[in-house]
Amino acid sequence: MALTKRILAMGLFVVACVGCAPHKGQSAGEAPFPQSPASRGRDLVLVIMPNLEATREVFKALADELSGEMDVKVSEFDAGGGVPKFAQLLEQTKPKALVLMDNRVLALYREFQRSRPANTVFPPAVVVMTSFLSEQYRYVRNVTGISYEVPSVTLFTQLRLLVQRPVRRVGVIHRQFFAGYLKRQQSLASREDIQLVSVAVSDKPTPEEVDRALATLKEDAVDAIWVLNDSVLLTPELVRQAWFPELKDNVIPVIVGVRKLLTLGKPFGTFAIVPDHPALGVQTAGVIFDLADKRWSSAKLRVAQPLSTRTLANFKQAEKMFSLSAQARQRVDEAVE
Amino acid sequence: MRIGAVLMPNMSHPRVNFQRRRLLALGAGAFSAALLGASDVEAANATLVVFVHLDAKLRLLQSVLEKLLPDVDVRTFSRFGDVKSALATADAVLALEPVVSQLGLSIVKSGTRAGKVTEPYTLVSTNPSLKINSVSSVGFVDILGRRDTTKFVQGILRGNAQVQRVTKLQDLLPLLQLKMAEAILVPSRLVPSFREKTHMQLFEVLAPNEVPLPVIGASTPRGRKLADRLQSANGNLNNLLGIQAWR
Repeated sequence: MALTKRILAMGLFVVACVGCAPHKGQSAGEAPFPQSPASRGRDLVLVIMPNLEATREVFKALADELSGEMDVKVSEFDAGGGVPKFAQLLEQTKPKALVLMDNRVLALYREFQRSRPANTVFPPAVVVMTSFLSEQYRYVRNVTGISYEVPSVTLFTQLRLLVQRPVRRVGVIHRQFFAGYLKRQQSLASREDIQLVSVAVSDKPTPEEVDRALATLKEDAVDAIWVLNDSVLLTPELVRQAWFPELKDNVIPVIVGVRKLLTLGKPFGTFAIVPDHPALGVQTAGVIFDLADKRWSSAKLRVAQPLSTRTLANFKQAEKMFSLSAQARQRVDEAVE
Repeated sequence: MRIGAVLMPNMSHPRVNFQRRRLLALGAGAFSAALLGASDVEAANATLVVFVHLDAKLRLLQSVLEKLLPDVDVRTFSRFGDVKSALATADAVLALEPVVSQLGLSIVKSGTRAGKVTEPYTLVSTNPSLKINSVSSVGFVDILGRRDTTKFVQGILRGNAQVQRVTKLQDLLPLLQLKMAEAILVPSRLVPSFREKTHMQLFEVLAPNEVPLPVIGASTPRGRKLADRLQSANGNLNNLLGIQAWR
């Protein structure tokens, strides 16, 4: 059962990568991979990440924060090197802690752990920029980190500042696999008096299922729709056959977690609320400092939520659908048309 | 994060963005020289580094400053690490007094509010029995880096609370919503704005010490001239900065 869950969880990967992808006109290879700050023989933190604009932004802030007190070494994720190269890197550097960015890096680390004897002691690892970490981290030993999904309470508080209409009930469609995640998000949203209305679909949903679920939310007269960053719910087939038709005459805000869903050419997302990467780097450094204070033990550290966000809006679409608050344009970081 | 990148999304490479803005600033400087007085000319082409946390998106402050100082390269930051990196090219820095002092610049103008160079701060919490001397963790915007921000906050509260740093004022409310800090420390004038944004019941306790307001520090003669020009700026800038006048 656990393996099935993990396989299902890996289905989330595609959407998360959309969020991490280089901007238009810039391929991942164009910008050089960052250099490690000079080593001074202090406790070493090893960062393993792919070379993406988003990971570079997180790393820059992280390295700025840490390099006054610790050595930081950054290594580019090498999918081809597999477990042997990963093991060699750890053996050579002997880090006090690891920072792992991206789903692929976490998957490789999990594979590395499985390849070691049962009594192996692993350095603590701080995992960031992976999908639904709170669902995954228990499958890896001595791991903590920061979720990449912006919590519901943050999303909905931001949304309230952008629209004139009251936001009391927000609808969301989810796969059964995420029932636990949704329950936690319901609890968080309730702190701001917002009810999360969830409709579950199967773990392999058909267009008809998603269509029915969206129709149910419409009938339920929710004030907004929240689209989870779940690639299984956002396949091209489901978007074309269920989301587009149901959102064609939509008049309520749709909050998404990736910029791309604001610009699909047809009505879809109106606001995207995404993690602020430099701030995520600072927050990650805070976790490393906490680990250092606890003598490099992650035993009492919980997976944290991302604190800082950027708000993007497709105002052209939003203005056709509902009234914006007077200060909406001042409250977004970027207008996407 | 440089705000210019947000304002000009097509110019995605920061270095290119900076160079182009620098050229634009130089061009604007030459044009403005004919229109401005002698002291203005001396401040033209200067670089102003801004590190002030507002109850608004930073790009708003960037935009206001660019309109006021079209011939100046204005660089706005929300992270202390970026400010330190940008210091080498700065003629002047606009930031809270402890920041400018730590950066080693001489203060040429001090913002005032109600005739003082400091303002009261308030602890805000969802805990109705919050007490200054027993608060366990406090959220605060990082202005001086990890160790010095912690000392600074502990000094304001005269206690030993653990400090949870964030990079923007807007990130403080999530600390309370997600129960990641017992309280947040904010300028007292902004407490109503925090209340407007949440349905949570908030409780307040005034901090025992006040916090210095923004100042302008200069590292070059051009920076001093720039400070003179900022002093004569309109009220919109002062409102954003939370001050009423400069002296």
